[in-house]
Amino acid sequence: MRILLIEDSETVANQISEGLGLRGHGVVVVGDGATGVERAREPDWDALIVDRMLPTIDGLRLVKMLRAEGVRTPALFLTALGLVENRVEGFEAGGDDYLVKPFAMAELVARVEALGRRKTLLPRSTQTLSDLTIDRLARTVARGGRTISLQAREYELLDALLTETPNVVTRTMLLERVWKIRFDPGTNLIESHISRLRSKIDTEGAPPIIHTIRGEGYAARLG
Amino acid sequence: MQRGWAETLWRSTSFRLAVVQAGFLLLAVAGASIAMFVITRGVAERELRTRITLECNAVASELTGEGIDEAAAAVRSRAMRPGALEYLLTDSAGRRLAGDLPDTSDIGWHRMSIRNHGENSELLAYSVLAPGGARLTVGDDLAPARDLADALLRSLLFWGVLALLLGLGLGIWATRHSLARMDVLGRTLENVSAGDLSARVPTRARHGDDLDDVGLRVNAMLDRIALLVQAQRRVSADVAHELRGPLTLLRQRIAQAASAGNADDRTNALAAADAAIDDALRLFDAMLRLSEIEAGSARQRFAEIDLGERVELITDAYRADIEAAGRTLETSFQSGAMVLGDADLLGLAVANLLENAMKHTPSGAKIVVRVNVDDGWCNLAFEDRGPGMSADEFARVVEPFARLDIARSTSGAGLGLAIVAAVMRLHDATFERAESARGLTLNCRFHRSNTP
Repeated sequence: MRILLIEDSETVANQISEGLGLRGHGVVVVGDGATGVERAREPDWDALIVDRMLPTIDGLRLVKMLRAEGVRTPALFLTALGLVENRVEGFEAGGDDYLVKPFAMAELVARVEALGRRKTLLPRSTQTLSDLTIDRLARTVARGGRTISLQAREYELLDALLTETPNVVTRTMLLERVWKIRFDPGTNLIESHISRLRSKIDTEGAPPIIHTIRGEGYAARLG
Repeated sequence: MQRGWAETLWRSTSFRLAVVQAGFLLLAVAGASIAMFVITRGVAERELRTRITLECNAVASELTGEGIDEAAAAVRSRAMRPGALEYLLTDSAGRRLAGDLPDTSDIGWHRMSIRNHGENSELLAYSVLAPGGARLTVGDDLAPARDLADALLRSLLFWGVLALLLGLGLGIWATRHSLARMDVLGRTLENVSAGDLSARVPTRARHGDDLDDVGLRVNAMLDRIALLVQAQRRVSADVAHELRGPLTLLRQRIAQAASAGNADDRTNALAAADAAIDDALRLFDAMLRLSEIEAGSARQRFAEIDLGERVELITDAYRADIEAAGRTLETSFQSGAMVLGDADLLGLAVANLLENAMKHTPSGAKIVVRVNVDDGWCNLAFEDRGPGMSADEFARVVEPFARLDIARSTSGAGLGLAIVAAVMRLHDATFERAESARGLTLNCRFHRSNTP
């Protein structure tokens, strides 16, 4: 992915470049809002990472300007402002995701990669992973030809994982997408749901579909 | 801000108004007096002329009817009557036949001065020339008419000046009165500026006037400011106090990692350090959120929410965890529980209730969450079979930024119920503890949104 990072703190920018670079993404760093707008107009970015507090043009205005000009490149806001209303402002300005500092690098990577895919791939109506098939129109799941009956939220959880396959989906991403929970709960709610889902879709002898990626989240993939 | 008494008085709006009012009163009284004076004089003089004309006609008719001698006798007898006018009848040769008015050669209306009992007085007189050369003059003193007008003028001026003085006096009194009260208000605000956030304007609850209204509003504002400042101080103090724990733990874990004998131990210690950082951040977040909720700005983005749906989603998220922890979760949600609110914050409140229940109930306990609709209300009922909470304990939890000491000992998540209480306050919902024989029963009562 080609990613434009608009961030004025050099330390944070270096960390992010390094983290995303390890995953094979190309990151261009810009230190102020005005230059940021200029560069963001170039058509070949896969995602923008925008700090909210920037010199010359602040992040919120920057994304608003781009959206008004018709630039649709997915944008993720980075901010130290974690209040609910700040996040709402971010989405209203045309941001696609919002991450509060300090964050785990795995969280940022997972979210940025999810944004990049959003640009290129529309969710397919049916998707197959190994012998598991999801039909998004009928909302059914089958494994090895056998239909698996899932509860609504179990289905949505599996759907969220399969949409991002083979990438990692973090706990907070799953909480947001499936349960609309936008705060960090005190306990690891997801683990119990994942083990329930695993027990329903895993079959004896077949390789597991859902993997726990320690310190990052979960991924639906083979091996 | 010490000023002279006169200057202070002059600076006050009510006193200036009183002065302006007094000025207008003065103008009105002066105008009325002058008009009264002129009109009264006019009316008295017209009356005098009528009398003189009648008298003159009566004598003139006698003159033409019965001859000059009879007329002279009539004039003499008329002059004897009480309240008589003044007369002069002369024959064609100009000899005085009757009456004691001084001679005059004027014909028609004229004025003349006479000395009467040593006093000069002005008379209004009318002279006619009778056929045959006789001349008749009838006159009367103008003084009584003038005296009436003067008396009226004097009395009007007297009462006018009295009213003016009374008005000014009242103005000064009212101004002093309100100045004194404004002074109290001003001093209260100065005290607040100087740092005494508990200073309040004294107000009368009953028979209050507009100044009391201002005082009540100022007090309400001060209450709010005090609450916010208290909240802010509390957050800073809490941050300092509560972060010490996780940071100490973090340091221990890092030390463990540094002195770890093998890679596995180091990895474990680092994972524990990471968890300690998460704890600290979560605590920090909870405090910030609490102050955000208390500030009340979230009300601006309130939207209509199905409370049942929202609570169901959150309980669903927690169900697996709760059951894995050996508790049972019983839920029932009535549809149509529409409330005006913030979905995220309501979710947070429910999550905190559930986490609180998990933390404080023994294994095997039952947790019940219900949403039902009752006329204009939507109720969220929450029960657990834990150790419960006394009314005192609950009252302290509901107070902004209060915390139970027991909860404090079990990590910073003790802010949980304080956050629930704050969210309910934000939503204008009641948050009450019901007496319960076993465990804790909490009821939240929301206004049901009107729109279908």
